[in-house]
Amino acid sequence: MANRKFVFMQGDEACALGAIKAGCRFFAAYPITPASEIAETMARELPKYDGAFIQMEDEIASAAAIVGASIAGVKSMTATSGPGFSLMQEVIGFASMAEIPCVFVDVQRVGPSTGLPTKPSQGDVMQARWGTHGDHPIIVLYPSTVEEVYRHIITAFNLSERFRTPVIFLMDELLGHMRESFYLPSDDELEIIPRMNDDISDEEIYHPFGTEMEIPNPLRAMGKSKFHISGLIHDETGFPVGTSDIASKLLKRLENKIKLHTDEISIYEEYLVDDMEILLIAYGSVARSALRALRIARNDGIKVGLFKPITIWPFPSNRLRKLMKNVDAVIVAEMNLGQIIKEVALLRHPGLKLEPLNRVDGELITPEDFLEAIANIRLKLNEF
Amino acid sequence: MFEFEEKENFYLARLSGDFDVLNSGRIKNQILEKISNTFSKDLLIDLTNVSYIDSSGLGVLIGLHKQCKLNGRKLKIFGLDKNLQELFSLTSLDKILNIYDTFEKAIEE
Repeated sequence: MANRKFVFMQGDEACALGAIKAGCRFFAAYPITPASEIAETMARELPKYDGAFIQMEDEIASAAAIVGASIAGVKSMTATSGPGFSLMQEVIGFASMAEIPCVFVDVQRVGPSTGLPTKPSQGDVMQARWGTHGDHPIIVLYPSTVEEVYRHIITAFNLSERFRTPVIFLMDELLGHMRESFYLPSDDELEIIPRMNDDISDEEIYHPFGTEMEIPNPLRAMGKSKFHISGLIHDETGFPVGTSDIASKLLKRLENKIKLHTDEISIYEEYLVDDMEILLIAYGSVARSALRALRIARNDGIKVGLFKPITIWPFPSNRLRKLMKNVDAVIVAEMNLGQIIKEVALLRHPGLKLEPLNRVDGELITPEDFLEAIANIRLKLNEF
Repeated sequence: MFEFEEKENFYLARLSGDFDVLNSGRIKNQILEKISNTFSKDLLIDLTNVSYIDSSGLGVLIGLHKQCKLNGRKLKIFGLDKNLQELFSLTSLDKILNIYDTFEKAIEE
């Protein structure tokens, strides 16, 4: 621990500082609770790294600005909450189609509309997956501690560069505003995928969308190389082509570049799953309560396990299907009215009891809520 | 976990495990209930078995410190491990709160 710095950091602050560590040098946003502290930290810190901060006129412009910055050769990020995230969806679709690496942070609050700005929610997990129109790939990460925020915003940038895709980084009000102590990872511990920023000679032909595999060539900076980018269906040169075979080929490749690499993208944590009879599934801040409840239940001799996905999309279906094979019951806890549980339901085997545990009152699901749900499901299991 | 004792000259609250967003509000209410919200004696908090405190836990300690002070009493904290010592130093709370190495030193003053 000698060369690692001990910090007491807010979640939003960790998001901004982790992004800078990942190489982010451009940030555009419009202030919104509970994400404003990310913008405040970026405004203060980015100039120290020769980076640029700009407050835009709204969230649509913010999203467009970070896509533009990325095309120009700079790692970029924006941060918002539900209302702003809704406005950004069209640009997320463009970034997905044009394969522009960039990171969108959504610090969730209770919605829809203005909702409860100062209370946490997990109501945007499906919007993160399907908010923009058309078939499109997306990667969504959602940590549950401040240290994980710092570490995995770096992962978000890496995945964005590696797969040339927008990555959505979900947080919630509680995670954004709480402060926790931890040791910052040392540079040796961190892998950071750099952005290629070299000049391309006049003789070299660079095809930003050319690939024999699913993942295209790394993005080169426009201005240092000549290429075309379009939100229209395009061929490997980037120029629009309206033929059906190209459309089908492109959309399937976009889908496959994420789908076929799900195992590489999936990050999750498991606790005491080897002998469990009841599986808890929880993510984000709710996973904190789940872990506390698990410890209490285990002390009482109840065989409970926990699956905590950090990669929410692509959904870690393969691993969960295996885990669910050996349990009698699954509890899916979410601060929404039941979103991820629909994905879990697709994986259930006949006879498995699947129970939702939901809150939408702006309060965190507590360990006591979990213990009550565990007691109830045990009663139901004993009835059979 | 939370244990409470009332002695002749002070109250003693012993915490264990994590003191964080998942239990800090409940523990605060339990302490206030035990002392009937009166702050008629000094309040000692034993953190010997506490391994982790987040901002909400620190918020509760600061709130109790202010209430003790308003009532002419002291909040006395003892039993900090190395990580907690570092946390209190980093946040400069070691300059504001009354922190002691041991229970004996806390009651000595």
